[in-house]
Amino acid sequence: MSQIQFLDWLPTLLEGLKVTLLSSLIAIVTSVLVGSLVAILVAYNNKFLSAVMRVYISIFRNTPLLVILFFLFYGLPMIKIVLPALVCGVVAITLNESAFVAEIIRGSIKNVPPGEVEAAVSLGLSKTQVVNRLIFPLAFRNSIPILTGQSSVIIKDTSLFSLIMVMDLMRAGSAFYEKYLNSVSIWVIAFIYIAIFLLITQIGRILEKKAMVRR
Amino acid sequence: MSLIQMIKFMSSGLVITAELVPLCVLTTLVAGLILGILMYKKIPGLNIILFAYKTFMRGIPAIVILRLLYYNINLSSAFFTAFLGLSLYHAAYVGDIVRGCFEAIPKGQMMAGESLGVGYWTIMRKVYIPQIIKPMVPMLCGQYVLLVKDTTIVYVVGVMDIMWMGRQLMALTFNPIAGYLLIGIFYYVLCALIELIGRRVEKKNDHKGPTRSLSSYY
Repeated sequence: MSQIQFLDWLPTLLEGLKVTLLSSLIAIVTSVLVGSLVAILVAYNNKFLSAVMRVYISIFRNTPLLVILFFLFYGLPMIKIVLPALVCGVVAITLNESAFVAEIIRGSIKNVPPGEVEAAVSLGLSKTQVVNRLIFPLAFRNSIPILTGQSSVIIKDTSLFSLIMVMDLMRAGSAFYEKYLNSVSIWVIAFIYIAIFLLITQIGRILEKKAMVRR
Repeated sequence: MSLIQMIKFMSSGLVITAELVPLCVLTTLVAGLILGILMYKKIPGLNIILFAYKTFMRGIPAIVILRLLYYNINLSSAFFTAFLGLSLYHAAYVGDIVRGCFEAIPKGQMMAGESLGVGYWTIMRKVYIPQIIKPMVPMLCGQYVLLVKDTTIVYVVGVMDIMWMGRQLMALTFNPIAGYLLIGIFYYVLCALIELIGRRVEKKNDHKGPTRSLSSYY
């Protein structure tokens, strides 16, 4: 990679980095929100709602992201819904990852000590209060370390955007290869991905410590 | 094109995916077991290399390793590139799972074995590995669901798998909804099956008994 080639590529790379970071940030926020909602609905133990949410979790956990992505990207225009590629991608990731987030929080909900729930019930708290004030906050805090791990998965997931013509980090790397037939760019983006991954891991450690202190 | 014709059209891709998955599962299992033991042993020098490998593989998306192999190493077969890429990628995860399971075993067992004069690898084979299988299976099932889902992207290196066929079908019939729905169902069945196995084993391992649900109070 000569200097001229690199300077020529740099704007593309920065653009790709921006798209990857922004879209993964949005996707992380939406996935955690939707996933939490699903987990709360499961926690209420309403038979019908619970069953619906379980089906939702099962379907989107076990379907590959790429299939959902292509389904939305190529399928929706057939029924006259045309979304920008980036929106499609974020929606697909949200559907897919919210199921994972919901499953993580559901696992934490199972581990909420029964004594605490019994104490809350015996104090006369209503079901809504028990779920919203006790079970969910506790479960969410306990699942923060796993959720940060899941966020790094979401960032990696955004690399699939390159397959639906979004200029993300992955596509920026391929673009350089296609222009100069030099695969150094793929190494460069690989190390950028690793840097992001290490950063997230570090943030996860800090958050984990904070959650431990508050407990 | 009717549904049956669509399935027939995609069957060649389906076969390739069905070949790729067990191959990768077997390779990652063997490689992961070896990697996990080596990481657990913490051999100086080798440990750094393994850590770098693990961090590299865990840090990048699967598509990046496929592209790296595709552009850098001129392998004759696209299938082999995909197989190698996915195996390298997921072996790091499986290795980490194995290492975690090994570290959960109390160190005293190794000391007890050694004080009885049993060799290291015999202790591994006869004491450690039988113990880690039970807790490992659910975690491995989770990882293999991810592996199966990652096989969707192998078409970027030119493997004519089911996703590739789905694209061809889309160009032929202009009906992406039915095509991708079929592919989605195929993957759903495969992944749900693996997940089910994991759940079964997890339930067997769980000695806590049923927990009270909230509805029992109200």
